[in-house]
This record gives sequence, C-alpha cells and structure tokens, in this order.
Amino acid sequence: MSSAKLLASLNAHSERVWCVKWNRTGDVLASCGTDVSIKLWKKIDDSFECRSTLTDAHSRTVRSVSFSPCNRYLASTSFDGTAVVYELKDGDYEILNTLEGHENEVKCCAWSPSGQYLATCSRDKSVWIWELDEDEEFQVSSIVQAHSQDVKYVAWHPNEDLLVSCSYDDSIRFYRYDGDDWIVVQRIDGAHESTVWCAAFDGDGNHLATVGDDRKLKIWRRYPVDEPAIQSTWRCVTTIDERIHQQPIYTVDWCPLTGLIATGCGDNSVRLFRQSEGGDADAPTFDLVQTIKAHDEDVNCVAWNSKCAGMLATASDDCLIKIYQVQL
Amino acid sequence: MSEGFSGVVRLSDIDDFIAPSQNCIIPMTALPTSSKGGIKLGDVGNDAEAPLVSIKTNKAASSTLASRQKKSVKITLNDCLACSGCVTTAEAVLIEQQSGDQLIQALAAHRAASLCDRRIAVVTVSPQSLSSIAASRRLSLTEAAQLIIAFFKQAGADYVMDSSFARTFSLLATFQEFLDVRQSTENADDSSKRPIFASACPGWICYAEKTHGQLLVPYLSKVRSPQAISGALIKNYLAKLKGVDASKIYHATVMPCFDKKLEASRDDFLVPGTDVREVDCVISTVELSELLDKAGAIDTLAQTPSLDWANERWLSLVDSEGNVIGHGGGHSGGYADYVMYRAIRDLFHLTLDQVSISKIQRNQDFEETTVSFGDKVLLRIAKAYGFRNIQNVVQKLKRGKCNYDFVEVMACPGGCTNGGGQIRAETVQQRAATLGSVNELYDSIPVVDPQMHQDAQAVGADWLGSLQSDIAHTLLFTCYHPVNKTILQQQTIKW
Repeated sequence: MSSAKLLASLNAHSERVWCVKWNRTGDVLASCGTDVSIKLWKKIDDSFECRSTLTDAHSRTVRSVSFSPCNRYLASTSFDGTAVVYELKDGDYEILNTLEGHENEVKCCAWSPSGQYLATCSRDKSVWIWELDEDEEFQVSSIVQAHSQDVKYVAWHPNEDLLVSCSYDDSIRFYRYDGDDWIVVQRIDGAHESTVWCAAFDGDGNHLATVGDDRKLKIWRRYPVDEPAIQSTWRCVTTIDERIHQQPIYTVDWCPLTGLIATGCGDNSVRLFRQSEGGDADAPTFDLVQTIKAHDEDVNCVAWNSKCAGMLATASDDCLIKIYQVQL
Repeated sequence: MSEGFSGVVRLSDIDDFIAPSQNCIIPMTALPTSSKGGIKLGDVGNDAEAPLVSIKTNKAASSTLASRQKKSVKITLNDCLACSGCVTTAEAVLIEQQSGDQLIQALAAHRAASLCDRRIAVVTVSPQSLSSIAASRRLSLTEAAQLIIAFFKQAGADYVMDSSFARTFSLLATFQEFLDVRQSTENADDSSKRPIFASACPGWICYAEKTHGQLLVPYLSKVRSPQAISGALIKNYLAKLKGVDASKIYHATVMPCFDKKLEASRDDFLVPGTDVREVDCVISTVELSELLDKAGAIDTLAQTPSLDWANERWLSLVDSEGNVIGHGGGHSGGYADYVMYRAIRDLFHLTLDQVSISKIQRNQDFEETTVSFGDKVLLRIAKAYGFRNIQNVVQKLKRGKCNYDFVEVMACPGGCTNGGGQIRAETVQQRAATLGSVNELYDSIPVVDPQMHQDAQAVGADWLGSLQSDIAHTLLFTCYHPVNKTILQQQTIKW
C-alpha cells in the first residue's frame, strides 16, 4: 500500500492555479494561474522557495506552462491568445518570443521530446506546431484544425514526434510530421462521452491515459507495439468508470519512474492508480491505490517529478499548490 | 458548405453567431459603417436601397419581417462580409446567389431578353479551372477549352474569355506599382513601405482585412486581381466598345476558388457610380464540372458564331492555336517572379547572367529568393502559401523582420491550382496525383511576356492609354479596408 506524505503547501498565487510543471532536472517547478503570473519554485531538499515571478508576458490568465527538454526554454500560454517563450539567462527566464496567431484563449503548450517543436492548442479549435529556427525565431510548422471544438490539451509521446490533442468535441487526435506538414494519423471520435480534458503517455510511450468530463479514466495501448509509435494505431484497453471518480476528471499524469497514474478531479481529490501485477496486455487492470483529499476545490493539474520518484505536484482552484511524496 | 472556402477564411471566422435563419444580433455600434449601404436606420421608402441580401428567415417570419422592414435595420451582404462575426452566414447566402444553376438561369434569361434588347453575356474562365477540368476529364487543354466554350455558348454566353488576359494587366500594373512604391521611398530610408504583398488571393485579403487590418492593409498591393480586372474589361471597355450599358452586360467567372465569390461582392467592384457589379456571378471549377456533367453530351462544333470574331481575339478563351495565355512563375499567377525578372531588367538594368539568384525553400509552400549583384543584395522576394506561412509572414512583419521587397501570398497550400474550388479526388494519394496532373497541364501553357502580348498591348492602349492614366488608376487598382473586431466578439469571449 502506498502512502502520500504532504511535503509542502505553496500559497503564493492570489487566484486559482491552473497548471504546474516540473523542469526536466526535477529541481524547479513552474506554476501559473488566473492571477496572470508564472512562479518558479526552487526545490531545496524537500522544501520549495519561490525564486521568481514572471508577470510581464501576459495580460490575462496564464493557462499552462511547459519546460523544454533541455530546460533552456520555458513556454506559457494565456487566455490573452498568445504563447510566450522564455529563455534561461543567468539563472532567470527572460522573454524570448511572443507567439501570436491563435484567435483566442491558448489552452495548453507542450515541447516535443527533441525540443525542436512546440505545440499549442486553443479555443479557436486549432493546434499549432511551432519550430525554432536558427535565429531563435519560431516559425509556424503547421496549423491543424482537426477538431470541431475547443482544444483543451496537447501532449507529446516521450520518444517520438507524435502529438496527441484532446478536445471539447469529445475526441482525441494523433499527429505526425509527413516531411513537409503535420498530418492527423488517427482520429478517435467519442474517445470520451464528454470533453476530454487531459492525456498523458506512460514512460515508454506504449500507453496513453486520458480523462474527461464523463468521469472516466481510459487507458489506450498502441498496436503493433514493436513498430514506431508514429505508425501505430491506438485502442482503448481499459476504462475506469465513474464509480471511482464521481466528478469530472480534469488532469492526469503518468509517472515515468514509478508507473503510477495520478488524476485530479472535481471532487477536490487526487487519486493514484497502479497497474495490477500480471494480467493481459490487451486488457490490463488498474488498482486505485490511494485517494488524497488534496484540495478544497477542483484539482486542475497534477504533475509527477521526472527525477524524484513519487514526487507529485498538484494545483487547484483553491489557489494552492501542494507537493506530495508518494512512498511505494 | 463552408468547406469549399479556403482554410484561411474558415479559420479566421470561427464564431458563427448567426445562422441564416436568424436575425443579426450584432449591436449596431459594432457594425462597420465604412461601406456604402452600411446600416440604415429608419431609412423609409427608399426601395432602391433594398438590401442585397435579407437575412433569410422562414416564410412566416419573413413576411412579418417584410412588413416591419421600413422601420428596421437593414443589413446587406456586404455588412455580413465586412463583419468579422459571421462569414459563414454570408457564405450560405452567397453560394445561393452565385451558384451554377443561377448562372445557367441568368444566361438563359439573357438570351431571351437579348431578342428585344442589345445585351452581352461573357464568361471568364481561369486557366487553373481549365487545367482542373481538363485533368479530371482526361482532355487536352484545347479540348477542355472547346468543351467549356461550347457549353457556355449553348447556354447563352456571347463570349468565353481567358482570365489570363486580364492577368496580363495585373502583372503589368503590379510591376508599375512596385516601381512607384520604390521610387517614393528610395531616398527616405523609409522601409515602412516594404514589403508589398500580392493581393490577388481573396482568402488572404479576407484574413488581412479582418484579422490584422491595421497592420497588413498598408502593405497590400492595390492592384486588382485578374478577376476584378476582367470585370473592368467587360463592364467598362467592352461596354464602351459595343455601346451597351454595363447594366445590360452579364459577366460570370469560373474560378479555382470559392473565396472569389466574396471578392466579387465587394462594393469596390461596382461599376463606378452604379450598383452594377463588374462580376455578377462566380462559380468554382467544381461547380462548372457539375454543370458539364448535367449537360451530358455537348457538341463542341456547334458553337454559336461569336460577334465580330476577328476584332475581339482577347474575348476568346483560346487563340487560333488553341492556347490560353501562360505567365510562368508558379501556379498562382507568377506575381513574385514577374516583379523579380522585370526589376532585374528594368530597375537594375542587369541581365540574368550578371546577377545571382538563390532560393531557400523554408517548406513546401514558403520560398525565399534573393537576387544579388556581387556582394550587394538587390531584391528579396518570397512566395508564401497556406495559412501557416501567412502566419509566418505576419509574425515576421510584427517583429520588424519581414525584409522582403515583394511577397506573393496565397491562402491555399500549393497555390491556385490547388484552390478550394478545384475538382478533388477522394483519397489523399489520388489528390496528390490529381494535383500533379493539373499542375502539369498548367505548366504546359505557353508563356507569354505581358509586355509582348500584342492583343493586351493594343487593348491597353485603346482602353487605358497608359498604366499611369486616371482610368488605369480607377480600373486596374482598388482599395482594401481594415475591419474592426466587433464589440460582440469581444464581449462573448468565454473561458
């Protein structure tokens, strides 16, 4: 049985916190929210200090943040319709570029595993893929409008340039580069019965977890698993239904180190799941190992630290960020 | 239905606030007032000002609407188009107004009316449409042209014309404008006039005016598109030649692009001082193909002899050899290449041997060309097609890094032969093959230097005098108008 120990409760945002993300070395956490700020938290052993607050980049709610794989860049997206990329200079992230083009709220951003591409998605129904050129300028590599509604979330495969997007149209879409442009390689309509809020690949990229407003957690597996992921087809192998989460699930993350899945739910709780021992690869089962009453309001984001096994950050409408250490 | 429009038009008009069955709910203060026939409040009894389009309602509702109309606000199609709220509503109406069936009915009506009245009907066909029709029917360009000519003449058209003839004027005027802009900024170290963006693509214009109007409109080339120049040729020059009033001339075009319907509806393209459109109806290639399918067997030999054939070679889709007019420089009109080659020769007075021309292909649809003489860069030219590359150009401009002299911007990836109105195959592979054969046909069109085109030079001299004359300024150039975002749009942002 696992147990989650609260390491810290970070109270620095004045309004709801939308997103938390660790850098790739696991020693800095970025957070952002309705107070239009981005805060960078330095991890010192098991405590956290707010080392800087970025407030210049956006004029409205900052909805998401993401560190590039090399940690050199940080990206943020905002309801002001822009994405902003910061570059690490002398220990501080400074604005490098403002990426304009989305019609309205930019909901999410994510760096590709190579760091070459930044994906953003928006209420304008489009997914944009930006590419960093030799002058540190971002070129639009592609604009794909494969959804019929608000696109809520984008996530990259951990090893390949395969992107997945989640939408208010209840569907998910997979994308890859075809040599000139980005194309949709798989469309899964009705992936959930309502908005798909979030998606997370597992450490080796053979599975994908998605969560939705339908209170379901779904696990997808790619076939054939011995081919590159960009060539595979994804199928749902497990559904954890609404008896477990009785409110919409807004966020999911899959720990690459422990294999634990964390979800954040409208019932203010964070839940941890682990794949059952043995079992059929085509129909795996997952056990709920713990329910943490983490917050007083909706949990908007959960994020596993990719260097410290079992370290989980959570963000909520209650304006708090919490850090848990899960013992296996 | 909106699928046929270019990605740019669809993407830039995401919020469809009014469906065709509803009344416009946009607050009046938010509606643009620039265009003529904007909002008329309490404009009683002036039926000549009746809206071009009344927002469609069901029958019962429309009769009550009609009875209240004199007190109500009128919204014309142009208001709908000018408002960034809801192009899709206007699209529905537009397609109804400018459909293949409407065109056939209009040609038949024209033929009937011309029994007692002198009238002329002209259909202008784009070379991209011709190539698409030829490719899909496995015809040569000449055979396809004969088929199209026969079909339209049987339907009631007097002339079937090549839009490339009008494009000859577009190209000549584009270079003239390039020179003028360059001269006016030469000594001022004023880079604010650079670059010039080609403006022949209506999808790009729609986006530029609505999304970044203040930023982009100053850089747009004011030269009319080939379609718009064909409109002037027909409703101004041909009207004068024949002594027929513009209102008695019907002019339709066949275009590779649905967005051309939007262009034809602009108030900028009314015969000056009238409410007569220079282009009455635009149909897409795919709509022409449907008409040809419905028509069944067409006797391409039984053409109605055209009036004064020998005097109006320019009014024929093909010359005596069966060729249309080609301009090279890609599949979208060749504006960038034309400016470049003319500038090397006529601005820098150099030959192609003396300069080096290097090309960088940023992606399939973004080509940068640099012309240098020794170490000196003379010109930077780009072709940017598709929405992503429009974004790249816009971002460069915003950051002050758009150091091109001229950019040929087109909304469709692949350019005009791949326009939204072209005939499409079912699968992705078939589409690539189809586009390949359309491009091959298009590339096979013999290229004619616009300055060497005798008919164009003769018509130009007779009609305009010179490119700098007042009439040339009116009929070869136009204006673009930034559109402000509506208040409604700002109000309804939700998150």
